[in-house]
Amino acid sequence: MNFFPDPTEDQQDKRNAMGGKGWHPEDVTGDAVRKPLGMVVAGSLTEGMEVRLDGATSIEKIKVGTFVNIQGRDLQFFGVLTDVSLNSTDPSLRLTPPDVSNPFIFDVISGTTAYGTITVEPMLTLSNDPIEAMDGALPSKTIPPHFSKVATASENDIQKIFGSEDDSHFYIGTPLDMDTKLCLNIEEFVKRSNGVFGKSGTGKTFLTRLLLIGILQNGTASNLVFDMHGEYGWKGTSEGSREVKGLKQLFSSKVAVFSLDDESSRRRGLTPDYVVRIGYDEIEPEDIQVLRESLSLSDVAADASYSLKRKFGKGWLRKFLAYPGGEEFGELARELNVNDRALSTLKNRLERLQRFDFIDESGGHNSVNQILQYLNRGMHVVLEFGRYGNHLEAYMLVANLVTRRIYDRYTRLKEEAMGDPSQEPRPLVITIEEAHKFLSPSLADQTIFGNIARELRKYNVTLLVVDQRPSGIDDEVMSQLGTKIACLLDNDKDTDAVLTGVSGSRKLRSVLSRLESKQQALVFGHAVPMPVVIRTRDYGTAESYKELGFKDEAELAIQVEQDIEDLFGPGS
Amino acid sequence: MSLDLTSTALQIDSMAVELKGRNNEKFRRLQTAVDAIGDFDVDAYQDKLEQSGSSVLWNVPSFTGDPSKSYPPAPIPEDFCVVAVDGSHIDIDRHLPARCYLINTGTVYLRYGSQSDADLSSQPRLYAEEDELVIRDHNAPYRQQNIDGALLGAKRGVEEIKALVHALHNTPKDVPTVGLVDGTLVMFGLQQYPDFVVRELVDNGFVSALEELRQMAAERPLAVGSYISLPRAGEVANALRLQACPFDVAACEQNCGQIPARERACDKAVGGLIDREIFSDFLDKGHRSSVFKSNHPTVSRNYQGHGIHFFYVNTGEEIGRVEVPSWVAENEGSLELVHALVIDQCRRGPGYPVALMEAHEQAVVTGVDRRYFVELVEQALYDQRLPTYSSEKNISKRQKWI
Amino acid sequence: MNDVNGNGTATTTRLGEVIEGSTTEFRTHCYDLYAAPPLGSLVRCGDGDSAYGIVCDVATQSMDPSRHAIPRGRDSEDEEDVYLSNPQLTRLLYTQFQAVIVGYEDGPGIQRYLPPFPPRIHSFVYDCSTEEVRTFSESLDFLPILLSPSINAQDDVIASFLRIAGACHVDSNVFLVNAGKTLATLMAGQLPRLNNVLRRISP
Repeated sequence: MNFFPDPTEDQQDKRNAMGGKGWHPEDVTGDAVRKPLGMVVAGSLTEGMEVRLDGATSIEKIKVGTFVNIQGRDLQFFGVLTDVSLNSTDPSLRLTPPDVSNPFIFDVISGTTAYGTITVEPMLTLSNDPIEAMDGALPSKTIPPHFSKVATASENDIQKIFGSEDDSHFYIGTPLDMDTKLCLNIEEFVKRSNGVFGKSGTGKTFLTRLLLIGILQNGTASNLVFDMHGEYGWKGTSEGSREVKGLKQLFSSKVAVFSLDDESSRRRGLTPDYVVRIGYDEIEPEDIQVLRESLSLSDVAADASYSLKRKFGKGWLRKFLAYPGGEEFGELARELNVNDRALSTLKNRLERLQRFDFIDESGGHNSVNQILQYLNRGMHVVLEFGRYGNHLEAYMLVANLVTRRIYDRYTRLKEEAMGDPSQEPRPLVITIEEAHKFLSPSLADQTIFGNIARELRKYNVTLLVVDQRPSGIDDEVMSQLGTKIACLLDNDKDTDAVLTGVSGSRKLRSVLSRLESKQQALVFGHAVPMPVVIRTRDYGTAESYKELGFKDEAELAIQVEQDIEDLFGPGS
Repeated sequence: MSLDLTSTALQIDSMAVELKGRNNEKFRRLQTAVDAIGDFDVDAYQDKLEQSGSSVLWNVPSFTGDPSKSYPPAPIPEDFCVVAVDGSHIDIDRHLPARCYLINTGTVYLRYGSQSDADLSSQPRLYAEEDELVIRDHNAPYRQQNIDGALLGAKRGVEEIKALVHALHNTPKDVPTVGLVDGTLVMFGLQQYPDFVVRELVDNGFVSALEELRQMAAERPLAVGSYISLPRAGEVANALRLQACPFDVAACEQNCGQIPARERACDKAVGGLIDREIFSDFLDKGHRSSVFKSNHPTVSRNYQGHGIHFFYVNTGEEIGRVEVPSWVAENEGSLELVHALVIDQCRRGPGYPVALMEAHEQAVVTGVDRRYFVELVEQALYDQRLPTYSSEKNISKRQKWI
Repeated sequence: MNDVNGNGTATTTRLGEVIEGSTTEFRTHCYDLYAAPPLGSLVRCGDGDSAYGIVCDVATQSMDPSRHAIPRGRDSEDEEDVYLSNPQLTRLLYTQFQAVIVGYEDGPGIQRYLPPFPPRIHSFVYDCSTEEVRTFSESLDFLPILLSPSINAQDDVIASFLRIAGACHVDSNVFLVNAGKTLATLMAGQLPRLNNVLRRISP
């Protein structure tokens, strides 16, 4: 259906005047591939549009989450298919089904007496008027009229809405059943904290890796990744234990790998850029707060660490752990006005930290400074935990400690810049896994991560939260996440948590709960104009690396030669 | 009130009883008649007939052969035609505002064989002009006779045979054809009318048509005849009376004038019998009797040499009577053709010649038709601004008040 | 008058004449015994402002309603022989058909609804050519007329018409599926009936 008249000379001129980029209403080449679905027969803004399927459309080919175009009179609507149902004009159909073994009768009855309906949640509108359409897509504030034609969105539609792949638009996947590149506005993305959710095995890591690459390629922000299981920096594994390249392999000049476990890194063939050490003196009571749950500390015991800090000052932990037992310990408890047993429990638990080799007695380690230096140089830092990845206390302690200190520095730098953008620290995206451990409702208001999530980008630091149990994350934090990318989740609680505060969540819920368990995700929030289901872009094949800008050595050699040739002319 | 059926039924019952008693007596007489036919002496009969002359009060036929003989039908030709006419009429109704009558003739042409075909038509004709409503004496124009009642019946008979002539003109000349009319070829019942009426209807009407047929028949394989179903004629029975007459000269008036009916010698022998009862004993299915010649006075007087012969046929369903002009009877081929085709027609009928039946269907004027006819007449008169009064009786018939 | 065999109406046959007509249907007396078009055929009546009808009832009967046919073939070898031996039969019996009016010629176009005036008595009735049937059935807007309850055995009439029309279209299957879908919409709530019709037009 072509709503626009054939391009006349006038319109040709206008198109030229509008320049090469952007969407041109006359440019309807993409419409040719819109596959008609049916027509609007009922609906409301709150309940979505009921669309009667054409007889020709096989209901089995309809998928929840499909990106749909609806042609209104003055507006084009874009929406998501949220439900599919079967209907019939004749209630006796159930009792006396027609003779559908006859293919002819089947053909006739389907789409007429027995028909399918789909529900489409209209999300965006785009004016049919070429001038108004230059404002771009707007959130739907109305619905298309009766009998509007509904079709799957075309490649052109996807580009109109999500933009084409360029510096600020990162190709993250394809819409369902389409080959069109669907892009995330990566500049919008890094302005806020974001979340990647999904139960294990759904491809969270894949998605995160892609997002990291997107941020890296865009160049406006730096990444700091707390790489719990060594999946981002160097070789990672895909499902089925196939090895895939890490960031360092693809972008060696831009990525630094820090390691807590030098030995493990080397075993994997990687020489870390820096081996991280944490001094006891660097551990603050706030860090102990974060570990409260993983160390099974009572509130009293955890709070005692603040008293200890007050008493002992810098080096409190070392001094506390070295504190003799017996009578003296009891006195300490009394002095601090802490229960004797609680204090001894604290001591016991904190002693566990001594097992971690990366913590040592010496103070003044420079690890955090090193990280900051790399980040300031525009590098991206992946902190590998090696064998400590299996110890949640270690992960949380380090992530919290490092983040806190980096955040402190950023706060200071930001304040020093006094609003002069050139002096501001480079925006930083901190990626944490098992985020619900840091951001549980009981901790969210105390930990540094909670602060970052709530304060938005005030200090140019945002989070990329990767988690499989979003229901464990504080509601307020969840609602502050700018863009959420959700794969299939374990249970309804998690699904609800992800969709909290999203308009049309009830309908998106049905979409989200029916995602395939691999390589599919629902993307919604600031970085996309409307919720959309994607099939995650391939990662792990040679071709995918090439697409992502990776050049192997042979290619690099050619590139060098080409550069030389460009500089000095051929044959030199 | 309608007919009192209870009283009527009782009378019907007693009639049936009486009929049964008469039947036994009649059966005896029938045996006598059959025996008599078996021993019939044609020569003696002819002699007695000649001797007695006009003193015989009975209408007796002349015999042309052994009356007890029965003749099988000849095979029917492969291709042949049957043309039949019939008529009906609407009589003058004195309750109508206009004096007029209508004759409707139905004509049927049926062709059998390789080029099987049929044509069924009817031709209504309204007579309303002054000249058409009466027959005038040309010699004395003041003498005139209204055409209605029995005379209209005779007039219709004339129109029928004229229609047959007309129809035969339009049929194939090379195919054996039989023309059939319904009823008798003898225009009897006109004796009471003045001569000029008889001359007009019989001499100038019926007989001239018959003459035209005779001329046609001379040039093509054509025969004509009439068929009478359930004939009540008793001419052959009358011949048996003559034979049973004990007197040398059958001078009925003179010999038996004083004897009451049913008591005379001839009554006792064959009284009350009719021909078809006698012949039902002699004729096998499809067979005909021998041919007799009618001595009806109208024929001898007015038919200008066209004799009328008749024979009886067993159609399988009944004994029917066929009348033919003498020029058919005397031509063996023509006679055989009539016999064979009448039997064939009755077989197809079934029971009655199919062509005649269809001719009747074409001609018939039903009660509904009659009513429409009256309405049409009234409407036409009204359209011409003529008075359309109707008799009160007529109105009362149409509108049944209580 | 149109020359039946002339160039004007190429392949159409003149079937008979209208003997009874209203704006909804007309009755045609066939020229020849048993020469009626099949049930469901499209016929055209009149020259010029023709009305289109679909044959919905065909009957052969006695000219005289008070007379009935009787068996006549006991001694005949075959049915043909009965007619040869009784030539009057072809004159005593006649074939007539009733056609429900589904549209009319309106100048150069075709309207698929009832004409403003009924066909005139003695209008000639023609069989429609393949081309005419195809043109007429390009739109099935007239199907509701066929569903009006005044027609006897209307489902058979519809099925017969669609079968005949289907054969006139290049892609008969596409035509029949579309027609079926139109019917399905019109016969909403009458599924068993719809099913019966569909089974009849099923290729």
